[in-house]
Amino acid sequence: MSMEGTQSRRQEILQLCKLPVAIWAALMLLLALTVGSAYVPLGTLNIVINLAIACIKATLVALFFMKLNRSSSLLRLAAVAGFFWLILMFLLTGGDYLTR
Amino acid sequence: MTDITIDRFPDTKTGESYLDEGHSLASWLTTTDHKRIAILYALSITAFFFIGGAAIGLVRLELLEPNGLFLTDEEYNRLFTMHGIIMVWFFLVPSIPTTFGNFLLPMMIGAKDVAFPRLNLMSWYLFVIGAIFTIVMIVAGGVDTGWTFYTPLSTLYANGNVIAAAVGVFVTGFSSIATGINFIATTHMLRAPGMTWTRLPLFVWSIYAVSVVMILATPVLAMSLLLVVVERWFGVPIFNPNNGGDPLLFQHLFWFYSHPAVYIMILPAMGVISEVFACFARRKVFGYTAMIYSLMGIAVVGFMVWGHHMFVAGQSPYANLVFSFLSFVVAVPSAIKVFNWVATLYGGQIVFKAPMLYAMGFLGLFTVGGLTGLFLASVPIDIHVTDTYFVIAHFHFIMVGGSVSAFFAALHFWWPKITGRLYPDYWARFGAITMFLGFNATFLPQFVMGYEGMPRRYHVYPEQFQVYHVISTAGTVLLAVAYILPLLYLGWSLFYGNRSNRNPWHAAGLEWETTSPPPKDNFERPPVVTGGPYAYGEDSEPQAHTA
Amino acid sequence: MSDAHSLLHEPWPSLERQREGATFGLWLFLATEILFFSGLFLGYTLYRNIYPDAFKIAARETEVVFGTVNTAILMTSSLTMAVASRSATRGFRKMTLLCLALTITLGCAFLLCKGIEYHDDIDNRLVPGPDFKLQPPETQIFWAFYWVMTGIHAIHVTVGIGIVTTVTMLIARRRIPLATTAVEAMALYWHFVDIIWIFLLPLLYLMGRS
Repeated sequence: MSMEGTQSRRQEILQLCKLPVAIWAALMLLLALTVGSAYVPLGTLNIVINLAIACIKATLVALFFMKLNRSSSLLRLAAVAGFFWLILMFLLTGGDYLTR
Repeated sequence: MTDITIDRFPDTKTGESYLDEGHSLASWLTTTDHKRIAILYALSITAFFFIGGAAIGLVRLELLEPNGLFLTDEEYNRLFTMHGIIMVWFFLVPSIPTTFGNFLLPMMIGAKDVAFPRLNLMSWYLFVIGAIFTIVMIVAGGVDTGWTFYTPLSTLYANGNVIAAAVGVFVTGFSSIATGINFIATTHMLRAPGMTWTRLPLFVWSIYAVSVVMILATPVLAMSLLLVVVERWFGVPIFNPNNGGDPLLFQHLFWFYSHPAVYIMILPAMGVISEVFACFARRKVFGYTAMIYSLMGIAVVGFMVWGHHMFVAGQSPYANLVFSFLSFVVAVPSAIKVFNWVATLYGGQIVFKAPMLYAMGFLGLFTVGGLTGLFLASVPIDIHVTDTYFVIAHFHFIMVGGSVSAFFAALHFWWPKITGRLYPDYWARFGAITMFLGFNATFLPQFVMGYEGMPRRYHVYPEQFQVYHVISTAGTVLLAVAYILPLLYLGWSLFYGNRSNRNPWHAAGLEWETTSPPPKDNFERPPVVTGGPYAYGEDSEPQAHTA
Repeated sequence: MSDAHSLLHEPWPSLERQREGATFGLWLFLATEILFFSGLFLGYTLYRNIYPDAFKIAARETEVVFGTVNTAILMTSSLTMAVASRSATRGFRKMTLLCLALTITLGCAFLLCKGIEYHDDIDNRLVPGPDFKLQPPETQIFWAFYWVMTGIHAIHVTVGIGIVTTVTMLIARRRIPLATTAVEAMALYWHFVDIIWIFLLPLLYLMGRS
């Protein structure tokens, strides 16, 4: 561990930071975009854009921070299962409210 | 051919069993052994079962007279609420998964323990703390909302400790979730070499299916109870119609959990029945693959039918239509299972030992419960019998006739494995028959009086229903005898019963290949599996070959 | 540096399998969490659909500056957490500890901001009840969801800070090895809490601004 300061180590750390920092920059950009767009009067489109950006941000975090891009299919299945059941709940309950 | 390559050890004790790992109370309360945790669960749910049973005993006594016998309206409401909350959350939901699931799942797949043993113990503590807290609160302050906590009754009008009871149930929910996560991870990660997915016993599949339901449904219950607590405590309007809130939203959230919860109760029972039928008919389970698909089918489609609890609650007629259709759809995999069980028995060498009698009871009662479920799934009939004793009878046929019968079948089937002792089969068969008769005497009259219009949750009723109520209460007495009897002879067997060998039923399955009771690590050496489950029949004299 | 024997626990045959199992278990837990929050998101969506105007009136009262700053803080904490988890698997002890400390600090900063914001909200009579300042009454539903959603999220952040602090201390004192699965597991949890906030931002802060 005393070697941590050496040149090669430093380079390896820089290397490992590259992807997270890039993702972070993208997230910040999207944040600026979403907050900015909220003040442009677009009617219903406002919430659509905002939610779309939220989905993109969530996907970035899930894929690269939570490493789903490199995970086994089992982990992806567990992640998708939650969303599948969420959609089930929205569809069937929403169906009731929209047809009352 | 079997297929389990373990050396057959002579039945002399080769090592200490899990029961000898420590005799102090502390050794039990700090154990991470899945088998000991299963025993802890078994003891606690048995206690809760009898508390919940005592509550309904009083209710049944009260109903002997059309004008009530000895309870006030308030006391009556509290007693049936207590019965519902305790039986649903502190007995039926944890019953088979946490006891037999905990004990058998690792053994059936050839593992040493569940994936996260400490989480397993924590889950028991959460369960017991939540359950005892709720029961104390119900007894001390009373809850009169019914087990469903419907808004706005629970948020605006009900008296008593609604908040405390909801918090207690919320806490036990975490126990369910932790158990579910543990079982799924165990099944995926810790199967013995050669134990492929299509070689798993159906009991393992059923525990897997039920765990999926547990982890995806329970959090929604947690949220709906949390919202009730928030609204009741802080007066923050969420379901309050005075502020434009919609009480039906609560019902949607509540039944998103509570209908799948019915499958939490019945799926493991189905697993048990498959094991017992195969063993006592000496046949492979008919249609093994279809059984797996139907288990998973019930688990998934069971999530899409909750609206049938809300046909008369103000749901849109179109939603009623969809939910009605889906409720019929979920009957298909259940029917597949019933047909396959019957086909398993067909041509089998049936032996009517006690576990088999309990399982046969399950088959009949579950079929009646399932078929009356179809009545209730069709909107017109449901409108006629909503909130009557017809509904009560229907779900008791599933939950008591189905799940509880299966629980007793499992108890009698695996008792020699768990305790290492044999019980008197005569008394056990007597208990099984008493239970079947008592159950029918209690609940068949309820179908009739419900159809004729006797509403649930009333203790004052027109005289025309008295005869049914009297028969029902008489049946309850019989049922109580049948529930207390096993306590006596099983308790007796713990001290005076003959020692069991590894496999008293000549059953197939990894759990029967180890000593009774099993050693701490379940197997003397790690098992290797080379064939499918249920190797019964002519050439199936369990052959073991050396690894 | 880490002793494989001290890492391997009882039922697991190998360290790699155990790591896989822990991650899988945590993902299952996150599936549970999705369903836990879904009840709130569902309620919000349905009510917003029934009372769009009241929701717009109500949403204009949230403090968008705090919401935006907090989003930035939380996303940065996710960055430090991601770097910590990657450093831990490669064995960079100092870097891991530094990043974990930063994560804790950012988490606390988030809670501090949230606290100030809550204080302002209470001052502005935005707690549903008899004193509530907005009309029509349906605006109270929006604010009920605001308090419950952000409150439960804040509880999650607090729990996360507690876990990260504990694990960081244990690693710093060399009580558990750097290669422990705990770092990866808690990173997953932290990122998930972040994702929840990503959805809260448009629903609670950005609506009705244009």
